[in-house]
Amino acid sequence: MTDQLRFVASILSIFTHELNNHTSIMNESAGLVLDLIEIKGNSEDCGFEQISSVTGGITNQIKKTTTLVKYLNRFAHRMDIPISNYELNEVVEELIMLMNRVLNQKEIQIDLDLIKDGLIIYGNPSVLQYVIFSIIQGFLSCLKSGDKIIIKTLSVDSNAEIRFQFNSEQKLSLDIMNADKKWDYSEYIKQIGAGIVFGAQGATDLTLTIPLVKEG
Amino acid sequence: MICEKILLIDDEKDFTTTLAERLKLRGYDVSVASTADEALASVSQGIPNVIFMDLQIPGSTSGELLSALLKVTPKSRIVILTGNADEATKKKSLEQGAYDYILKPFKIKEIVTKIVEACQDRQEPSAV
Repeated sequence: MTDQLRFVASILSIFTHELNNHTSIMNESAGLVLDLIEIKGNSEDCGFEQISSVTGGITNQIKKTTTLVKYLNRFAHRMDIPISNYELNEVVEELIMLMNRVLNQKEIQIDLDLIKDGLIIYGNPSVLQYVIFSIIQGFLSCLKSGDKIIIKTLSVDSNAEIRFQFNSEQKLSLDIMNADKKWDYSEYIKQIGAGIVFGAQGATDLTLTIPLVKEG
Repeated sequence: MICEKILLIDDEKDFTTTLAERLKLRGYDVSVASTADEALASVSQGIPNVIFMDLQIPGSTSGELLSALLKVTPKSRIVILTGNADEATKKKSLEQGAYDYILKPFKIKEIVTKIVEACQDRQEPSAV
């Protein structure tokens, strides 16, 4: 299977698992409303307050699910036109939202510090998402509960930068990063015309540099 | 009711509180846990007859908590309740010792039937 197909399959498995959880909450909440009507419907305490609270919960859950579905829909449509102008923050945020379950599961905090005005890049956003996904996956196996990932987007000269900082009590190094080579992104960095620089701390911080679209 | 103590383990608190409420309305004594530590603390306070748990719980990797619970509370029947439809994961969990594997979303009748079944199964060896 090609790397990108594995990437899409991975995102889909995270998403569908999450969707099953969301529908399950709605299913149980709707079931609880029916239970309350059936069991308490004729009693003095007919549970109206609880029914109202559970119904509000269903509405919130629908909102959360709709947001997640929108992210997946946008993620999928990025592949309609492979090369295009795209907004960097949207691409980063969308991927992180779709990966959220995996990060939550490991109790890893993720902070997004996205540049205010956004940055327009010409290229293939899906490949960039694959690269970001692979960088994070490379570290996930060595990050522990309570560790933190900070992702910052910024503009430096005529480039956009995505800075990753992995804060962990573990000693992270290039050797342990992506040790199993499951997610190799070196070829794909070239495809999007990006460069990668590791910080002074070794593999705990790294920067992806991507050329910005020149105005005019 | 002979079989009444149920433990629900899932990091989706909205899910556990709602399902717990539905089971309480049916007469069960239900506890909930959202992390591996909470789950282990809960079983140390009283052995549940049936445990319903998701596989991916914060504080443990997939299958780790199942193994720990099987050791700590071998008399409880552990049913996996998950959104993960992967057949390999199901097979592995059942081989590991899970009593059954139910995919979310489900019908409450399925859960109640599973509790009754699990409790009958649990009582059978001592009755022989």
